[in-house]
Amino acid sequence: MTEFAMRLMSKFLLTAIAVFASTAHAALTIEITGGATIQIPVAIAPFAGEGTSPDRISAIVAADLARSGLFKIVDTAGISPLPQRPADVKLADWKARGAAALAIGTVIPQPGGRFDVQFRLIDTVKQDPQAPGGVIQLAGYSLPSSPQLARLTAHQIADIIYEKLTGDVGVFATRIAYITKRGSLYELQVADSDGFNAQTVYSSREPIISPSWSPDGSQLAYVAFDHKKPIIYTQVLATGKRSTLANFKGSNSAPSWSPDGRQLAVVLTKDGNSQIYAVNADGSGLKRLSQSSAIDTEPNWSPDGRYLLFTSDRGGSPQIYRMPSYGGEPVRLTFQGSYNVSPRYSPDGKNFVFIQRDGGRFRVAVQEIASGQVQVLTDNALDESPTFAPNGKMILYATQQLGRGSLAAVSSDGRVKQRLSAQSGDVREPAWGPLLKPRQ
Amino acid sequence: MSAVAAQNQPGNMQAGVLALLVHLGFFALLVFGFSWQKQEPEAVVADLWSSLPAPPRSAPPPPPAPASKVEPVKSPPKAEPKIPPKVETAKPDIALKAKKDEKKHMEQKPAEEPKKKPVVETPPTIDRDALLRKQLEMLAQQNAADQARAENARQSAAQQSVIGDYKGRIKRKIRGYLNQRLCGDGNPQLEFEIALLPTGQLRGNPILRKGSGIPVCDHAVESAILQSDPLPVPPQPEIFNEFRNLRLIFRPNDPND
Repeated sequence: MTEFAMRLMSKFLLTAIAVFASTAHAALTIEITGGATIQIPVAIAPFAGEGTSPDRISAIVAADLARSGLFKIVDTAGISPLPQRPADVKLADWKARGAAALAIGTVIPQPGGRFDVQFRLIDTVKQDPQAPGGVIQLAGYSLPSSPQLARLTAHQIADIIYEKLTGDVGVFATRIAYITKRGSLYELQVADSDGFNAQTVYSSREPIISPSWSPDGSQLAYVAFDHKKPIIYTQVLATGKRSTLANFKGSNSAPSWSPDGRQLAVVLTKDGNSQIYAVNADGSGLKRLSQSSAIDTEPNWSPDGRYLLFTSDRGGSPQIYRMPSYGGEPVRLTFQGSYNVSPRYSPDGKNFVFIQRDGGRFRVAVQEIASGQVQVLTDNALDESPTFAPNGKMILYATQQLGRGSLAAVSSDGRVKQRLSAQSGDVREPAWGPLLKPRQ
Repeated sequence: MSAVAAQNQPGNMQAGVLALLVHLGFFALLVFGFSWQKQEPEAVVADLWSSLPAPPRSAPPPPPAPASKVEPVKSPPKAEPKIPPKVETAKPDIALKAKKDEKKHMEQKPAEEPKKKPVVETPPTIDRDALLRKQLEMLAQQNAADQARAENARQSAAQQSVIGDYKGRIKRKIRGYLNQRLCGDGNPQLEFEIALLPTGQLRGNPILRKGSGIPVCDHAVESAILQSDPLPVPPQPEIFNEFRNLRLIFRPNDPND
């Protein structure tokens, strides 16, 4: 190509660019700051073959999501036929109802009374021209189940939806432990996170207190007064096998598992007043951690295992302190008010939840460790035993309602509050269990 | 008295001759000086008149007629007294005329250049009506241009106001669907591009140009845009053109403005 031709071509190109630039319309820019405190609108269509009972899978999924406070359940009534496969989904129907996502599913019977639950989560606002029917699938699973596991399966589906749409881990398929009292009978129970499907782990005519989950969720430690004195036990949930962890002279109380599951922090009075000790999970290797002439109690391990929070009245009033998990000099953390007790670390270790007395009312509060900032989350009269959900988004606690204890939950930012109504009797001292093993 | 007359008799002669000589000297000086000054303007005037007879000077004279060279030299003395330099600045009419002549001359120049009769041109006359008309026309044109500019400015301001209004409407509608709880604790910023139909409906899916690094946040913002479909757009086609392609920048964790 000659130099002249090249010059001609470059001139032509420059001219073309100039013409294009002059005719192309520059995009108008709009800056949008902030947003809305809204719930994610999601529709849960009844699953094909699930029956019509209130315990049907789709109903449990919808209830889980609604209870989290982050979702608004879009009514599915009036849409017929209800879709069971992606090809059946008419996006316009769901978009018109304001749904951002839709869950559809089918229950497929299997031999031996078992069944599979096939479930899909559909994006109802975005279309993919390449996909059949333009439908975009956000998630799809086939979960083996049985009548006994149906609730767990529903919670797992709710976890998948929660995780897909919020980016956080769902905790609907986790369990909670708590103590109930019916008449003179005390029971240690374990239930689904929604309070349903409760099973008694241990019962006694004598008080039972302070349940604590092992990190893998396979065992519970608790204090029972069977022998007219508080003794710490551990119990394997799968087998019911119970072991004595600490039965020293005086009081044995407030067990708390270390994050690695090898030790527990306990409170003993064998040397005088209540002090904090560490003991191996098999009951051996006792070691005193706190050294004070005051009452030190309610220990709780940090998620990284380096520290222990505990309550002490060494300053003249019950306040929350932190000390290294091997013992050492404690540091006082709470300064607001004259009564701050029952500390529990958040799963990320940045905050702790506790009970603060304010004007005669005992409320759930959260304090950020780094800044010391305190946020009171509840406005009840008598709250106790707060415990973080394993994703850190909710806090479960016991509160007094009509003269008896019941369970309630509040979101960690205080925006969503709810009461769990599944339990009967006087319910106290809840402990939220760890996450189950990750889905494969 | 007679003594005086007797004494002056021979001296009178001398004095008379001397006086005569002096007077002659003065007279000669006067005559010489006058004729010397007279030479000067002649040369200057001949050069200044070149504005009118310029074409003849620039055009080469026909070879067989040397007299024609002489003729233009003859005519300038006629015009000499009419174009003293101070006249140009003294009267505006003349000045305008001169300008007009100059303009006319410049306009005519290209046509006249090839060949020209040097002497035939008559001195330009001043057409005051034409000048006035021209001035009025110019004033009218200027006035019309000013009005057009003012109208353009008014229309542009009105258009900007409509654009601002609809930008606000779009902002509010999308923000109403944007779940800011899904964008973490930091200060993420996202950028989407969308194309709109004149009905305000989205033409295709939003294009993510810059993500937040939080997939759920990106999805939440995209969903908010899609849920806002159709967006409010101005009905005027020329203003809608501004909204045909939008670049949306999101800072979900900033306070609402």
